[in-house]
Amino acid sequence: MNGKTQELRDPLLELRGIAKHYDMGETVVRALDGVDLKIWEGEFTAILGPSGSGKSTLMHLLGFLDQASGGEMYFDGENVSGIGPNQRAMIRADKIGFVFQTFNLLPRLSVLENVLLPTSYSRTPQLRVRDRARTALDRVGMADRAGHRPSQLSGGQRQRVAIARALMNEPRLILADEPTGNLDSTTARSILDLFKELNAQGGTVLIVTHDEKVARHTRRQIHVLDGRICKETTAQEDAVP
Amino acid sequence: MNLVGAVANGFGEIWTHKLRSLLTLVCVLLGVASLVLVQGFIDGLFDGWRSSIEENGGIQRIRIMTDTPPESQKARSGISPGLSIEDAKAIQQSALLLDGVTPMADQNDALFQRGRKSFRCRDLVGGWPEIFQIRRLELGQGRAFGDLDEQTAAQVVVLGAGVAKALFEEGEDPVGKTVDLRGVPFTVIGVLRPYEKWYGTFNLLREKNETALVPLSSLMRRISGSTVPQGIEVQAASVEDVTRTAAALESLLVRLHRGIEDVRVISQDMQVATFREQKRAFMIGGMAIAAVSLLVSGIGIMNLMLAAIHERVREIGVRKALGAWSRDIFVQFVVESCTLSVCGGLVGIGLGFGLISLLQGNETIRPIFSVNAALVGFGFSVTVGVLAGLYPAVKASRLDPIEALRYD
Ligand SMILES: Nc1ncnc2c1ncn2[C@@H]1O[C@H](COP(=O)(O)OP(=O)(O)OP(=O)(O)O)[C@@H](O)[C@H]1O
Ligand SMILES: [Mg+2]
Repeated sequence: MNGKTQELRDPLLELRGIAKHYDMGETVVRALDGVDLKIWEGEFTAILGPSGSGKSTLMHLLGFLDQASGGEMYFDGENVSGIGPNQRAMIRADKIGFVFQTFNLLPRLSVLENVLLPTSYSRTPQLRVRDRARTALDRVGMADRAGHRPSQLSGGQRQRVAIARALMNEPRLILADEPTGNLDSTTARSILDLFKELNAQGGTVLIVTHDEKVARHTRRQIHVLDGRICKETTAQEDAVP
Repeated sequence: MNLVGAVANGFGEIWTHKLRSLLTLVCVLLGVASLVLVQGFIDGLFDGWRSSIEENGGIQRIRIMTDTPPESQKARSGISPGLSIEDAKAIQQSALLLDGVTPMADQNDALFQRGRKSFRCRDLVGGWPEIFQIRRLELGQGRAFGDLDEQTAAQVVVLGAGVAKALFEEGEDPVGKTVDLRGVPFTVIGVLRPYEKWYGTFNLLREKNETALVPLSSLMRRISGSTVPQGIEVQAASVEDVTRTAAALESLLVRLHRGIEDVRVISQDMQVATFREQKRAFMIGGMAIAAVSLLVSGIGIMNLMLAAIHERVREIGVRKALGAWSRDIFVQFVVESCTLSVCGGLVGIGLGFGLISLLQGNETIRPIFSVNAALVGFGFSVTVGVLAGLYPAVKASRLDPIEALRYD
C-alpha cells in the first residue's frame, strides 16, 4: 500500500485539531491539545508515549467511547463531531473492536458467550451468530475452548478470546490499549503476531503502548507527548527483529 | 439485548450468587406467601358470609319485628294494635311492589316423634306459602304447602333434610308418612333439599337443614295457640328496591299502628353495607401487611442490586464499550431484579397455597384458594422487582464507560 492510492480515498478516521480538556476547578488538564491525525484502512499503527501523555484519551476518542471538547472528527469522510451517546454506541457496536490490557471478559459467561456479547448490542440484524463466533474463535486459535470459563484460561488465552470478541462484528477498526501489558514477553509476542496476521488479512489495527519494543512490530508509530503528536515514524515490517 | 436474553442473564446472575440470591428471595417469598394467606383468609371469610346471606333470602329479604317504642311514646303505646296478621294483609294490599309477603311465627326445639325416633327441630316455622320463595327454600322431594293448606290449617309439614334424616330410615320415602309434632299428627308433604356450605368441617347452612315448616294457621291453631305472629317477612321486587321498600314499609306500619313506632324493619342491605365496610377494613389491613412486606423485600432486593452494581462496574463498562446503550443496561438491571423477585413471588404463591391447604381442616378459620390471591401475589412481586430495580438500574446505566473500564 503506498501513499498515492491512499490519497484518492477518504481516511477511515480523521481528527482535526482535536482537544480534550478536563476542567478540574482551579486548573484545566489538557489531556489532548490540538491533535491532527489520519488513520487509513488497512493500517497497523502504534500510539506511543510516556505515561500520562494522552494515549488512552486519544484511543477513547478514536473508539467513540468519549467525546472531544474541541476539534472535528470524520469517519469515512463523514463529520461525526457532534453525534450523541447512542449513535456513538452504535458505531462502537458495528465498526469498532476493543481489546484491553485487563482482557475484560465477563467471568460468568463462557468463552463462546463472551464472544457473542457484541451481537446483542448491534442494532443491525445478526445472522448465524454462533457460526460467526466459532469462526472468530478459530481465527485466534481458541475454537477448542468455546465452553470454558475465562477463569480456566491463561492470560494469553484470555487475550485471544478478547480479540475474538473484538472481531465478532467484523469491525472497521480494532483498538487495543496496552494489549500486552499484563503478559510475559513470549505470550506478548504471540499476541502481537496475531494482530499482525489480522492486519495482513486486511484489518485495521491500532495499538496503544508505552513500550518501544511493542511499537516496533507495527508499521506506523505515532508519538504522543503532553497531549500532542510530536513525531511520526514508519518502519518496514522487514526491519522488525 | 432481547427480553429472553435479559431474563436468561438474570437467572445466570441469580445462579452465580446462590446464597445471596436465596436470602433476598426469601424476603420476597415470605412477603408474597403472607399476602396470599391473608387474602385467602379474607376471601374465605367473606365468601362464607356472602353465601349465608344469599341462602337466607339474599339482600331482597326484609324482616319486620316487634320493637320497644321510643321513651316518648311509651305512655300511649297501648293505642297501637301491635304486629298482626292484619299488617301482613295490609302490606299485601298496599301499592308497594313486592315479590312476596308472609307473617311468620316460629318455635325453637320443637319435638318431632315417629315411632321410637325423635328429633328436636332447631326451628319450626309457620308461614304463608310465600315463605318458601322469600327464604329461598327449595324442595328435594314432595311439595310445599299451598293457600288451601293455610286456609284449612291443614296438618301438613315440610321437613328440612336433616330432620327427615333423623326421623326416617335410609332409603325410606318420608312423603305421605305421619309424624307427631308435640303430640299432634302431621303429614309430611315435602322435604327440603339438603343445604351445604362447608367452612372447614362446619356446615354454614346446617340450620337450614334442621328446620321444618308448617302453614302459619296450623302452627297457631294446632300447636302454639297464639294468634300473633312474631314477625313479617317481605321480599323486595329487586335488590335496588330494598332500601326504598324498607322505608315505605316502616311508614306504612307506623300509620297502621297509629303513629307508634313499635316495629323494626330489618333489611339485609344494612348487613351488606356492614359487610362491605368490614371487608374494606380487612382489605386495608391486608394492604398494610402487603405494604410492609413490599418495603422489606424491596429493600432486600435494592440492597442486593446495589451491591451487584458495585461488583459489576467493569462488566457495565465492557457492555457499553461493546455498544450497549444506557437503556440496555437499565433494562438489564430492572429485568434482573424482576427475575429475582418474580422467582421469590412464585415460590411464595406456592408456599401460601401450601399453607392454605394445611389449614383446610381448621373449623373456625378457613382460608380459601383464590385466584385473586395468586394474582395479587404475582403483581406484588413484579412491582417490588421493578421498584427496587429502578434506582440501581438508573445508577448502572449512568456509569461512564471510560470510568467503568478503569475501575478496579
Ligand atoms: N477523567 C479525567 N479527569 C481528569 N484528568 C484526566 C481524566 N482522564 C485522563 N486525565 C488526564 O489526562 C492525561 C492523559 O491521560 P491518559 O489516560 O490518556 O494517559 P496515558 O497516556 O494513557 O497514560 P498511561 O500510559 O499511564 O495509561 C493525564 O494527565 C490524566 O491525568
Ligand atoms: Mg493509558
